[in-house]
Amino acid sequence: MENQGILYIFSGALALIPAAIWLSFLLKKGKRKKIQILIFLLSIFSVVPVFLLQYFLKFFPQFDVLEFLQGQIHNQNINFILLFISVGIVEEIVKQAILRIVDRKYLLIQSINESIHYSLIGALGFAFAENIFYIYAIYTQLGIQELIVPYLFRSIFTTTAHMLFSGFFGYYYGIAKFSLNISEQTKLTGKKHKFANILGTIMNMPRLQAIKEINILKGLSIAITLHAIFNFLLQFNQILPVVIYIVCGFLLLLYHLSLKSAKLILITDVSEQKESSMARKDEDIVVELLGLWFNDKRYVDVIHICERLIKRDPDNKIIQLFKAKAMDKMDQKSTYGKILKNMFPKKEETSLSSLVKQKKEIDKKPQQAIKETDPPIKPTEISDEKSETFNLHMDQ
Amino acid sequence: MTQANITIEDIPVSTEGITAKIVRFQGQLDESNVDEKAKFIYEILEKNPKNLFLLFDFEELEYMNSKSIGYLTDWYGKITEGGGKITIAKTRSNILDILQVVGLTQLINCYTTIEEAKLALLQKPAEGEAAS
Repeated sequence: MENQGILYIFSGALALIPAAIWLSFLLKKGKRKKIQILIFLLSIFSVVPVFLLQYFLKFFPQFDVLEFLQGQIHNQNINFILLFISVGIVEEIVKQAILRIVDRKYLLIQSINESIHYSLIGALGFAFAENIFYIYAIYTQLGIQELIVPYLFRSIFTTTAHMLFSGFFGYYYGIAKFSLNISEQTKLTGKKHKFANILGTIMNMPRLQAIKEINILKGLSIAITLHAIFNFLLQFNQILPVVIYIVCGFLLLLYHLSLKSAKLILITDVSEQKESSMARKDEDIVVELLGLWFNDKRYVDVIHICERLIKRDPDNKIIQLFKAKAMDKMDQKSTYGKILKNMFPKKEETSLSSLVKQKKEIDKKPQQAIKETDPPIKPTEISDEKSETFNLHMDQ
Repeated sequence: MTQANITIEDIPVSTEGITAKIVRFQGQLDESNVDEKAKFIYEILEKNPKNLFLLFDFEELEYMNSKSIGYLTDWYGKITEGGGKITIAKTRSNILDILQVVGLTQLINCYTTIEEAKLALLQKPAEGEAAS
């Protein structure tokens, strides 16, 4: 018993090394360090429900849905898939629960980026606890000689994998949390949210709530799927594909973290919110135009209009989102542009700012007056009824 | 359908090859009528692809939706490409505010009177002269 305790301490010390490295890096990047540590500590205990569930099913096998399904299906690969999906479901649900609880209590998350960041810390706590038990099990069953490779693999790849899965959940949790602004902005670019409308009708919930639930479910499903694929590849010792999978996934997550729209603070203190100096109706027209031009990929114009609008309405999150997303698109364009530059002929772009430059050039030139002659021709009315008259006149 | 009318009046000019017109807008340009009304301007553009000089009189224009601002930008691009010009006169303050925020007032000069707008409209860069 005493040995067991020492072994757990030894396992904990080994598991702490990768966790401490990651944690020191993450703490430097984020704000509210105490709460970050709290998330890490709480997440360590999120393995408890997983173990409790395992014990529960051991004593009450009649509730083991997985075993029941596996008993019905006699294909080993499908049974593995079922096993890994169920592991993914349980682990991802407990990991995200901590984030949601802490966020609700401390109003922690202010941007999508922060949602990803805190999810990474939560996953690190979970991976740390899981690693303790794995190190202990491998050491006691196979001895120290067999521990080194699995320890290194778990420290580097499994820990990163847990963070990756939760990171993707965090991204969608952020989108769900700020769905009021995000869905309003995407609606202006023509997104319909049809599934949310259907879900809202079926479940009798407001459309916005339905959008939130769908995004949380989407994040959870992605995290579970990524988790199941990782476990499935590991089951068949596909180490190189696992490494490629984790590296690619992490690069994608880093890309999401680098987005300006993800960094945008989407929470506003209502008491400090400044009122717009533009009439609501007029501002709505301009915001609608932003949606139209965003769809037309006129990102330069969108950015310039947003800059002018932000001066008039500094706390409008929809305008800020348009600007950030247009800037993200510009960054993508410049990246892809470098790659595609030599592949396709360059299309000449016309933005308002380029037209302003051209106009300034024209205005610099000496002007000559066009002389008017008398008398002017009688006006022609163009209305629904008189459009024919106009056409006749124009043909003359 | 919301009421909107466009009236077109020629500005007779002595310089050959130049077409100048006053386009008077009246009512509200919104989703229900903007596409249809825009066609009239495109017809003029089609018939006069070069050296078209248009003065938009917005005195009786009460409302412009986002699409109509998009059209205005497009007309500007097409007309200036053909060596023409657009000026705007007598814009209501709410519409002027929108045009300023969009940045269109940097491209299209807005004037308080028709006379001023016409005078500015009928100015053309002298041919063969270098930029100063």
